[in-house]
Amino acid sequence: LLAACSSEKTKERSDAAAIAEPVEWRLTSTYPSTLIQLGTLGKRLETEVSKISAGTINLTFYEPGVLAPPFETFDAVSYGAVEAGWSTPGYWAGKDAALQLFSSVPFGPSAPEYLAWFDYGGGKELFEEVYHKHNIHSIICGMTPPEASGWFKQEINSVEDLKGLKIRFFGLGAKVMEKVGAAPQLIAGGEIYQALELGTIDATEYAMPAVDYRMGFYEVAKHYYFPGWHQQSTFFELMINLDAWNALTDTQKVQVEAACSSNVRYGISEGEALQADAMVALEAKGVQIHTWSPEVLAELRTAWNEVARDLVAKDPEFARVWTSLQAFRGKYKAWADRGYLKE
Amino acid sequence: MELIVDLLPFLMFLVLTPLLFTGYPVAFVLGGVGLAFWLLAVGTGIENPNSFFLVVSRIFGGVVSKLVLVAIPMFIFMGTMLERSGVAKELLYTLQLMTRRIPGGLALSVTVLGVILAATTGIIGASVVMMTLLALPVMLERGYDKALATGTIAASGTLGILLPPSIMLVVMADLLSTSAGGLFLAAIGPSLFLALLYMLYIFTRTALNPGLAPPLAEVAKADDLSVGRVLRSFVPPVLLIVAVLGSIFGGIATPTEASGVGAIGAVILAALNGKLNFRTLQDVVERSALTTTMLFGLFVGATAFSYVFALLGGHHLILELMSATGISPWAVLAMLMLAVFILGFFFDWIEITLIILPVFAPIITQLDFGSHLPDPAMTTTWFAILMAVNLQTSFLTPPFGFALFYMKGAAPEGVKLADIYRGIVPFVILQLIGLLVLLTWPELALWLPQTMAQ
Amino acid sequence: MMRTLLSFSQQIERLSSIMGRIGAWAIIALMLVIITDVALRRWFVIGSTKLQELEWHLHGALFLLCLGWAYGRNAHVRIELVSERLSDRTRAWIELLGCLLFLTPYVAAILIFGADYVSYSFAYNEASASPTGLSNRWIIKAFIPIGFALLGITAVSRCINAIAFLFGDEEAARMSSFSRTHAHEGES
Ligand code: NA
Ligand code: NA
Repeated sequence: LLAACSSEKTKERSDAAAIAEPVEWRLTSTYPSTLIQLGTLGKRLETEVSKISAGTINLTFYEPGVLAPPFETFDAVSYGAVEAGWSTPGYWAGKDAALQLFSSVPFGPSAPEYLAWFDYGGGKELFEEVYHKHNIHSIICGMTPPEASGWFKQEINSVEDLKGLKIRFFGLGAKVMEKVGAAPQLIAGGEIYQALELGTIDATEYAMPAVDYRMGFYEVAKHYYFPGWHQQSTFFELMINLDAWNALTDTQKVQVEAACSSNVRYGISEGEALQADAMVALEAKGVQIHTWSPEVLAELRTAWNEVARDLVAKDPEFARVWTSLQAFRGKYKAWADRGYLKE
Repeated sequence: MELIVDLLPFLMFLVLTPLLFTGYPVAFVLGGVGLAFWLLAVGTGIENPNSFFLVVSRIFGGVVSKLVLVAIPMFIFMGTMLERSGVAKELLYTLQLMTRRIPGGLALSVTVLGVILAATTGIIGASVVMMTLLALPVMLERGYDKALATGTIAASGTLGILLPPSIMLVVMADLLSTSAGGLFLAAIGPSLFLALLYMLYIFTRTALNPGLAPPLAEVAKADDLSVGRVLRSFVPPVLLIVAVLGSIFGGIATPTEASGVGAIGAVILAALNGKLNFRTLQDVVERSALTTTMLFGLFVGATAFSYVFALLGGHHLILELMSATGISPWAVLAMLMLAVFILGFFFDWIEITLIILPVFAPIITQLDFGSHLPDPAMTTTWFAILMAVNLQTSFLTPPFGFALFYMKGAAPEGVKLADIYRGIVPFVILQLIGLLVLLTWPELALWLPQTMAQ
Repeated sequence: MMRTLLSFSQQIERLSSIMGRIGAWAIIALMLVIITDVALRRWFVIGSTKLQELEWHLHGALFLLCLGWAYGRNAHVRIELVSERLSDRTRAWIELLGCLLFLTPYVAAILIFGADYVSYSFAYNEASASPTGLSNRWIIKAFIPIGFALLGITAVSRCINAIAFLFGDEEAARMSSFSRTHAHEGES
């Protein structure tokens, strides 16, 4: 929409947009601005939104904890203490279990399929319905490639090896781990490295290779597993207080959405490029990179299906979103199986 | 008007400082001043009337639901129990007997105790309070100079945030996108060096002026020191230290959980000493709870104050003041170090790292110090450790040295904040010497991680 | 009149003190939970997210319940550099003004916003962000307003004591626990 404008037209537009009252919003983040992708994608919005809106929407990025502690971002935006927040919907599982399905799903879709469901499979409508209940308007505003499955001190050859494994795991994947007999742990972020080093835990899931590399986990655990079955692609979001959102002009709304669409695209392209570099760097450090055997993945998938069934039975909202996603994926499979090359 | 709005954050400190000296509890003054300035901002229409909500959020998200803070009540309980059951006193007395020919022997022992404790926790509040409970009453009873005793304990107690495990290094690693393990290794040299500096100072000072640390009366020593006594007073606490450190390094417990191991260990020692009954337990529980609440109360008050400071644009204001940087890497480094030191008078480490690091992290990695560093790739590590030493100092610098407040809250009646302020000055100077040595001789930090990498 | 007020203040302060002294025992519970958690992981290899969350629930409940009691016992840090040279009357004035201008408004603000904070959590049946964690998050959140209410109660009692000391007759002044607050026998 805006990219096509010539410089004169840009001037016209900004004159037109100037009618809108310029808004100054605080954007509180759940990740530090320096954290690869998870944080940088949010920080980037500061300049992007301001440029796209010709200065009529100005976000000021706040590091996690400066205003709101990371896990308080949801309440902060919902209550209107700040206008906007940068996070991932999966963080808000405790507020509404269904939101986990808008972040990433174990054995879930990769980026194109996930986006297809969200935009054309009814995902967006459900997403907004859930959030509006909490006085938040949230926009999918970033996306990252698959995560790694995690760092293990010992080689894992079968699901049997996972039994009794003390693993730091967060989110839906932790439920799956529990199901197959591992002991998921909640270790404070800052203590993961040392806990792994000293054997207090045997393994940890963390993030994408580019982030994991910087965290230095390769110094204390040599076995790095792929693919990250628990997180094939991840959505990030720009949460906006619903009243603040409703006060925007239609043009401003479109501008925010455009900035987010561009951010999603940017996240995918940057993310894919970064991981490739990180893999080379990790191999140079002597990390043993493994791929899960089809048997292990099949058993984990079975465990996940059970977990999902439990969650569906427990939470009607979760069930609604899950049904929508599954229906879309069932239909999509006919296309995916035929449309793409299998190497 | 515009100017006043811009300067509101600084005005907060201008108002806070004299109010603190009224003697009303620090925690409540911090909260009250924070609220007053927020109300002022809402009244003049520059602030949103919903934003104070986040103070509740911060109390929950930043204080209540922080797993690592579990170490605070546990270590305080452990310290109180050891003190109450006589284990600590017995140990320190024997230590003093053994070191009676060395000037300042007891203070030197306390420094060593500080280093050991530092290896078990990264929470300053926990280690300073525990050291204060264990050692300060004994040192004062033995006629140690109040300033020397409090300075020694406060400084050794803050080593905990520098020596791994350290929550501060982890947060810095996160913000600088570097490995926490690398920073852990790099922090070991400087922490031990600082401990050495403290000991050197204590030794020299007490050698020159024995009145500061009176040696044990000649009568007491000779027959008191026996093998049996040494065993009796050493074995229980050493076992306890082994249990705590062993549970961490044996991979049984995280440092946070190790505090619980220590707490139950102290209960067992008290029971073995025949000092454990319901009354004692109740007394220890209640006194620990009060000390814990004193500490958390400070967190709860300070969170309101620093939130409103950030809300009114304080962080941006500081960064603006700092924007006049030189081009040379040394000028940038000097400016940052000076800024951190000065900010340290007023803020705690988390505030300072959140103001400075996200903005300067990209600049720091670009700085080129040529052959001054053994490996240019270690610029970030070196900088982080420099900053960490500087931040450790911020706990000690008046007026808002939180270690000093914690100590005051746990110290016996009769120890004034003035004594503590006086006691800390030489140690702050030692910190600056340590910082200078680290600046001129980066190998102090970088040697270990470099060697380990090979 | 003054005497009625004073006895009222003693009553309410007793409440805050009892709650604090009960809350203090969370220390023992915390210790036991940590040991259980460590043992379960080490020797029985059982995932213990719930226990690990319970740990911070306990330290939270502990200090929140004790906030008011600690004020009554004068355990909160004061900077007495200047104030120790002031007269009892001046210090009573400081206590009264500090209470009215700083503490009470702060407590009120936390209570007002805290009520919203907890009722939201209750209305949406908020649980841990971790699917393997504890549910009913509103319970621990409710300790924030409860703790501050207890602090507020103690604040009211301190105000009454300071007023009795400053404006009451000699006996009321003696009855007020105010002077005791400052000449404390080292119990913190
Ligand atoms: Na430490
Ligand atoms: Na300071």
